[in-house]
Amino acid sequence: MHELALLQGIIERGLLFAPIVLAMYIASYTIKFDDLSVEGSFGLGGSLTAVLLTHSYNGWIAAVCAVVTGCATGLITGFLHTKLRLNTLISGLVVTTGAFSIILKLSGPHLTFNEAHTLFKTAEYAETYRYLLLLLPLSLALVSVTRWFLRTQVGLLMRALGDNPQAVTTIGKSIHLYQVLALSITNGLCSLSGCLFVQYVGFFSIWSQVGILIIGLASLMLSQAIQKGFGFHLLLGPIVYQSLIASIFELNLDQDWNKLFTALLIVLLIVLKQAFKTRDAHV
Amino acid sequence: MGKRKLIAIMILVSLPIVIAGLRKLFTRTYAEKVTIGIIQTASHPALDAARLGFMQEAEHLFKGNVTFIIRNAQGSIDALQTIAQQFHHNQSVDGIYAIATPALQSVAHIEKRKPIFFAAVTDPYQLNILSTETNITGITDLINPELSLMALKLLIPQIKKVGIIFSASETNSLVLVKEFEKLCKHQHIAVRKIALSNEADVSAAVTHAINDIEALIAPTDNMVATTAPLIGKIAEKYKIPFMVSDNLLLPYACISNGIDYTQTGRQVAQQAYQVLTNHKHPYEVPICTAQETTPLVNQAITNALGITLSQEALCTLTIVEQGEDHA
Repeated sequence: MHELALLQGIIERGLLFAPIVLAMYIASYTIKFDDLSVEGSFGLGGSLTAVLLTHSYNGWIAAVCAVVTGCATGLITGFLHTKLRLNTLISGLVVTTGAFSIILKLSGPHLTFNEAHTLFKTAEYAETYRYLLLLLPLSLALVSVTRWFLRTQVGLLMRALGDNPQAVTTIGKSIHLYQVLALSITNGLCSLSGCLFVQYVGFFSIWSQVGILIIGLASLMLSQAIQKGFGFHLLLGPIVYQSLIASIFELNLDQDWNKLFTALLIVLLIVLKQAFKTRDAHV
Repeated sequence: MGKRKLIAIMILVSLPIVIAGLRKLFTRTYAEKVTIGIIQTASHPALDAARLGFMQEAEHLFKGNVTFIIRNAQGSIDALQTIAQQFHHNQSVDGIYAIATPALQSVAHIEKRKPIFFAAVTDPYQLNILSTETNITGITDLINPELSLMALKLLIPQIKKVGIIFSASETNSLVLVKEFEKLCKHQHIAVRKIALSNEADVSAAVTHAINDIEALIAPTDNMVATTAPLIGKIAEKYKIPFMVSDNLLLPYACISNGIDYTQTGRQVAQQAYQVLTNHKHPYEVPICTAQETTPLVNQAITNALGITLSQEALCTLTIVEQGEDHA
């Protein structure tokens, strides 16, 4: 069944980007901080993973290290914004720019590793389903944990921070602390995504991080078009995005038009959704 | 979530499969026709040339009995995965032509059975994809740096210090930079490395380094390729010869010792013909380096720099007058 295998690939690739969509939701919707350090932490996570795997470390250990590195990257973004008073966009941009050099020093522009140690080997008995077997529970767990976290006291304060920063100050809490904390979490998630991506494709390339911001944002918008707010539908956004990309390639267009058609499809979907919504409101 | 929404999502997700199915229904497949899937990493003059050269030669060798499925990932590693997977599952694809390293690596990771041919890859051996019974063969684009240096020395015999300009993010160029450094050290020429991190830096980086060097060398490098007109202009202003490793860039440079990517594509097509028609295994068709050509010299620029060509240079190098299209 070749068609089913194609579908399976789309879901797998969608789930690889699920952590990024979660991260972008927290950054853009919860604390209202447009974080551009996403690409930097994605690349760093991937690069570190590739280096650790070439030195025969286990893929799971690499994942933990990647998350920690991502959190540190987020701390830097937060520090630049809160202590050095850089604009939100600039602080993210600076981190992504700087990360480029660190990645080059860490792994070089292109690194191939021995696949014997990737975390997907853990589920090797499932053969072609090994990716889904790991990615699906992992992303479901990530959504559940994040949802739980946003309902804890710290999570509630983060949400308050996005809606009304004054309220946080009034109850004697530091805005900056919660901002930095949230950024650290979101960048940890992005880095995890980079780590999973590299282990999935089997090599690291400096170009894998370029354009991640667009993939993440488009996926987030699509999932918000499906349903507003936080929930398991955040996993559907990236899957729908991947199926759009696959559809564009299946259309067999002149390849120069691919990007424009992708853009038009995303616009069309969001407009259609709004049209249905207003029609329903009138009925 | 409403029922209607769920249906809409399911339709969306299965859209590529529906399109693939419809295409299969409406395109008649000829059993005797060979289908080759072309996966190109990005749009770039050299990579486009490698694709066109391949298609021309394959069309000729298979006597028209060949169809191509052309896919360009436009630089996205994520899209490369999608394409590689589609080729893998498309039963009508008999062989895959991968252009540039990321494309080759993505396809090699997914496709273990169908033959894979590659071009515009400098060092396939370090990619961890070749085994004894590999399904991969192709033409590497490693140029001969000794030939480059020889050509440079013919123009400036007393050269003492060169600058090497490259982008730090490209594997292909790093391999060559190392080679150039080794050779220069051997011939007692000092080297100054000028690493570019993005296209906006080029002007500043070149202007600062140029007072210090006697010639500027560029390996096969995409960032240099896109900014060659600018680099060439600065080099000409400071009367420094600029040497490139891509013959398409000769209009901006003094010397070029490069690969003809159209020719490389043709060579790969011959390998593909061997495998797909003569039923050889890819591992029986050895991986080769591209055919060597004599270095080219741009006469208009040598005149502007006030370099007079020695008799030996006139004999060993190909002199190109400006305006002549050598690509």
